[in-house]
Amino acid sequence: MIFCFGGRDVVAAPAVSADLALATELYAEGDWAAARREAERVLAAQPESEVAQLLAADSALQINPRAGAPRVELDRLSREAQDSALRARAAYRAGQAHWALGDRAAAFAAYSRAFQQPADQASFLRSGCAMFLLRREDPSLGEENPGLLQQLATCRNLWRFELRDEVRVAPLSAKKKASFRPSVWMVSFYRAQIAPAIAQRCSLEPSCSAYFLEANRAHRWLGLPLIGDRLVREPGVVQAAEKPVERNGQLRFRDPLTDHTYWLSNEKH
Amino acid sequence: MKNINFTLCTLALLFAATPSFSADPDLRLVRELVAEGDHAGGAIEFRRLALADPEAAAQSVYFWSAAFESWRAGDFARADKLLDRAEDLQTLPSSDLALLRGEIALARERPAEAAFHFESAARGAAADARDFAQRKHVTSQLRAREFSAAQRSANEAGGDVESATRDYLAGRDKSPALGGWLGLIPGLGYAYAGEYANATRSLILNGLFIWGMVETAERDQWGGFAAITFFEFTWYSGSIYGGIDASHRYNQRRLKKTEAALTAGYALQPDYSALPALQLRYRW
Repeated sequence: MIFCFGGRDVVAAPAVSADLALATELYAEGDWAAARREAERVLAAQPESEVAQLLAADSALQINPRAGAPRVELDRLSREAQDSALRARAAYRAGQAHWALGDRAAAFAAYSRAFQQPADQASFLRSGCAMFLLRREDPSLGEENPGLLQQLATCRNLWRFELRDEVRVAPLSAKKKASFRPSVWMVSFYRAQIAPAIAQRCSLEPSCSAYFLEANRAHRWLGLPLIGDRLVREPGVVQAAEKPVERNGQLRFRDPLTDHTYWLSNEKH
Repeated sequence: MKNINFTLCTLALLFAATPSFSADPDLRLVRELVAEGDHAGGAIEFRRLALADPEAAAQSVYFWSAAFESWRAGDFARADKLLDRAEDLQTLPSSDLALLRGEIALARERPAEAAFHFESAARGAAADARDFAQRKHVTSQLRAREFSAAQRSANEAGGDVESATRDYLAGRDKSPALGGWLGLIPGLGYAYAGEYANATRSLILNGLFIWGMVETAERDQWGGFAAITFFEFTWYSGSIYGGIDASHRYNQRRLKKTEAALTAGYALQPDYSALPALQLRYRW
């Protein structure tokens, strides 16, 4: 997370300033839902707070990258915000949002607005790097502005590989790589086609098919022994009835994957 | 009449001058959230209180409470960071900080670190806090497999701590490696850890599928053979993994039983009715 906000636009009651500080902290921690809630709380008391507007819009976008309204709000802030550093940050985030949706021209335009705000060094550096990467995907971008391209060419040495990895945005439409594991095909087919017809029969939470997919994702080939072990243990777990939970009005028993893999990596975060 | 007016004025002044009264609605909200089991929500409200309060002493109590609620919500990394902020304000007794730090370290599966914090908490604490810290200290040492150190600490604590630790150390853990090797013979790994029903199921399933493999191979039904072999591989590898996991499970159960004996009736619990002062209880 490159952004931190000082709450400089708040000249209000201490309670509002505390709410904004809390929203900023939660945003920096990546707790998007809580950050959005707190930012909206600030906006209810102080609608003109640009920092809160930016936090609310960006958090909403982090929760749902396809949402249109927060993207429009970021675009607006990138043009109209009073604070130039905040304008740059809004422009950078708008650029990322457009890039994720595959709209390279809009992304390039937003990044160029951030690049031309030297008040914010972080946004300047990152948006320049993002434009450089976007031009590698589509060399026609920015041709109408040779001055900007000249500036980009001058700064080229600044785009280190770590920075390129940081700013590169994967398109949301990119298809997930197909799995070439027959076991995953079978279980996915079962979950998509058979399970809805016969209703959930597994007495455990997560169900055995979900357990297998989770195990496969987290531990690759260990997914097979893990599900073999789970199926053997299932009657015993139900009989022991140690961790009952209710799901859709039915009694199930919790048997999470981590209870059987904690000794593979012995630390909780 | 004059006396009544004077009393009313004094009460009104006291009401207005006490900061806890002005903060009361927020405190009521946070108490309600915690009572409802919404610990993450409680942590956020405590952070809001900390950021809004100008007094360092109250701030550190609220940050401590936010860390405590984050720990209860299972957000251990955030709990650690919030406790850092409470510590930075340098107004809370070090034993209060160390106790929560130890609980967080224990939850993060860092028992050696937890043992260090509980040991330092026990040093400067009052009798009830020391009792709690000593019990947790022994628990952490057992989890860290520092058995001789745990025995020494338990001897110092004496009473039921000493006897529970002695009982644990008199027993023997199962070896996960041996459980895995025994799992090569279907079901034996489970049996080694005392899970006889799982052992029987594993043996029957493996036996059936191996028989299926032999039958299909003898009849040159290679499609069926491939399908059955795939499933047999799942059961067989499950038997080996299960042997290792069952041993870990056995050791965990044994340790948990001892931990329960050591800390039964003990829990770190702040008394939120005393806010903005931090009052801790150690028994329930």
